[in-house]
Amino acid sequence: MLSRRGAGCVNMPLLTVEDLSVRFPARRGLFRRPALLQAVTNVSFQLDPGEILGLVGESGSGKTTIGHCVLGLTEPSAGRIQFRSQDISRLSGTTLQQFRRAAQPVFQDPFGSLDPRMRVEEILAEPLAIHRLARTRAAARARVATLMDEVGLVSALASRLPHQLSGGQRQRVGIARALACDPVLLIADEPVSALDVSIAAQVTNLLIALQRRRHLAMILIAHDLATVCYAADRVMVLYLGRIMEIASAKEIFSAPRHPYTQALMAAVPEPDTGLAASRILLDGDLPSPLAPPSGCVFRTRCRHAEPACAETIPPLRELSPGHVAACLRAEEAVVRQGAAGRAQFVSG
Amino acid sequence: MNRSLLSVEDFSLSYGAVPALHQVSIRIARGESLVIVGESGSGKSSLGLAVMRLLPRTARMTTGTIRFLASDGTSHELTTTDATILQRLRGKEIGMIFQEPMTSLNPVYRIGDQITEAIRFHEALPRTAARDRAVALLAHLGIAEPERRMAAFPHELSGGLRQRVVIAIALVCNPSLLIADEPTTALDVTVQAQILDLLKRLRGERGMALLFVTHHLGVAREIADRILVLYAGRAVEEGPAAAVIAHPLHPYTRALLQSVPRLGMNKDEMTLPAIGGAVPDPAQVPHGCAFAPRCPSFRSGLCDAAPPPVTTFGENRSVRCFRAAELAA
Ligand SMILES: Nc1ncnc2c1ncn2[C@@H]1O[C@H](COP(=O)(O)OP(=O)(O)O)[C@@H](O)[C@H]1O
Ligand SMILES: Nc1ncnc2c1ncn2[C@@H]1O[C@H](COP(=O)(O)OP(=O)(O)O)[C@@H](O)[C@H]1O
Ligand code: SF4
Ligand SMILES: [Mg+2]
Ligand SMILES: [Mg+2]
Repeated sequence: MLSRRGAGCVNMPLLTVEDLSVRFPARRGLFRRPALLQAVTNVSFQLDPGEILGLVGESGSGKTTIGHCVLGLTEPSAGRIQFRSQDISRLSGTTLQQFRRAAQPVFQDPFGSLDPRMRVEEILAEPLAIHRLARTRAAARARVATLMDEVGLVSALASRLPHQLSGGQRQRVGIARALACDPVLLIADEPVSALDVSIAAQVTNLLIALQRRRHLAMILIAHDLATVCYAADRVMVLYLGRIMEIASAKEIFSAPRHPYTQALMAAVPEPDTGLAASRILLDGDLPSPLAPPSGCVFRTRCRHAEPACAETIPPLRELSPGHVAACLRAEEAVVRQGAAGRAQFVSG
Repeated sequence: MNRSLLSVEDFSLSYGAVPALHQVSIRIARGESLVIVGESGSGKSSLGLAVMRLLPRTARMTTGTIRFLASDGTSHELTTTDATILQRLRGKEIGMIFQEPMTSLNPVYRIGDQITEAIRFHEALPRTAARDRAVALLAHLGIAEPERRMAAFPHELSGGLRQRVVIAIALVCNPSLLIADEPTTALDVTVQAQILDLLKRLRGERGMALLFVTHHLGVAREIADRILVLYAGRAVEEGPAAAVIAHPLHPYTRALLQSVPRLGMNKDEMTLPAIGGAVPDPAQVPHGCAFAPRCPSFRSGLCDAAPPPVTTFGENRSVRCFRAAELAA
């Protein structure tokens, strides 16, 4: 850790999320009293400049909500989000403007986020105008050309409308728009999920190239664990709004310690090996977020659950440097062996 | 004589003047599972819909036949057979499920009523008996508390449960062929694994044939006996699933296979092998090989001169590529 940040160096984390909780009002049925839906519970993590943190978990696990909180689009019910040591809920005026520029979203469906009547060049010039980043029209045009080039869009596409682009091209426009204000943080929410595998690989490669070239930090939300492990430096696994495990991408793959991570991994259908033969088929669906299970929220679908799991909320414990998991049994041999399931399968 | 359960011969289709499928042929034996793989826009859904004769009015069949062998031994040409026979075959002999389960469910009816109605549509059963059958079917499909679920409306169920309900409806009358168009694409991987497991189990139990459409070769591998790869409306490779995946012969199949990120890959060690470019606009498919502009094995003067012929390898593999023999070696 010390060596990464440099001893005595002032390199602070870019983003610090502390005890983030988000509750939404939810109605249970028509006439019953309103309940609170706990979308995110006590989530804490840090992100270094230039780091890619992957967020995975089934739908409903709170990934998008966390991303929205970091962008300041959703107000946390509790907890604190600091960007360069400043609480983002306290920003106003110029510092708020700076933050808005510095943290940019990339969406899953660029179609939904691009104005269908605007040409590519207009879409890309808009943030430059909003944030007054180009003094003259010529400067704006030059900047748009550079952006298009950076994301691999040929200049002939500048005058196209979104529906005249392929899915991959639209996502490149979405990325170029996010880059227009020279951000330091991208929140990419399922940026490749709607694309064909071949095109998804292009866009994933592009995101990594940009991250390297611009030293961008990124929260990369994706439901494909293989993509996340490939692209991210660290991976955070979420279930029902709680952190189950955080580790380096390499360790998440080679030594997952939470039974949920192991189950997610085993469910990836790989062309060469298929689903892990010894796979842990998760039964049933996600429990209702309105009535999460007591103790460990994963226990109702966990093959290692024992009575204690219903009693105690497992704390996030550090199992090795930088590797934390919230499972009471993470150290036990049965769980650790489960960890080897996929890796064994891949090699055998 | 051809006794395939389903045989599509030389089938071509256009939407208006824009071609979508080119002389595609598929055969599915009883109990066999054929998976159609390809990027979006390759014509996978059009093929499934053509078999069900559910294509939109703008679709025009330009060549070919689609023959289906009914359980009573009669053979039907689905593109021309009359509507009453088709109606009987659909549902009773051929079931279909779509990517988005809501397209097959009526949002304002309880799912129990929808399954019960589906049963009674095909069989003269009293209501209560049909209901019992529906409950038993839901239980058989791994749905917990089936009695309670019967009363739910579609929107009250998760995506995975909805897809199970759609499968239940498709299966009520024991079809001999199930057409499944990307039934797991919109689901989480965990739920996808459950549904794939379920379909495998049902095939085993019922000897049901499957025409399964997916863009994901990992999913294809799970469920396929044979794989057919479509590119820009053309069948470019076909063969036994294991062989196609272990030794893809068409450059497109190879590229598609490589572009799937595998667990354990890491950006510090490699760049993802993407396929450059994009699927051609169907109105502007190149004159030679449709894949030529994206193909790493492209050879000028050969691949752009004429459409490549089909080359066969052994009894059951075929490839549409000029360089297939060379690349297979
Ligand atoms: N605006 C909202 N109002 C009510 N509930 C919401 C809202 N946004 C999200 N939720 C709920 O919060 C939970 C987490 O959702 P989300 O963050 O979208 O998860 P993910 O992105 O992992 O699929 C889900 O149960 C979802 O239904
Ligand atoms: N209703 C339609 N009208 C016009 N063109 C269509 C229609 N449906 C599909 N197409 C076109 O036909 C081609 C094949 O589409 P489709 O069968 O949906 O492919 P896939 O399922 O492989 O994505 C595409 O070029 C698509 O744009
Ligand atoms: S025919 Fe030529 S361009 Fe087409 S796939 Fe084969 S090598 Fe590639
Ligand atoms: Mg989301
Ligand atoms: Mg389709």
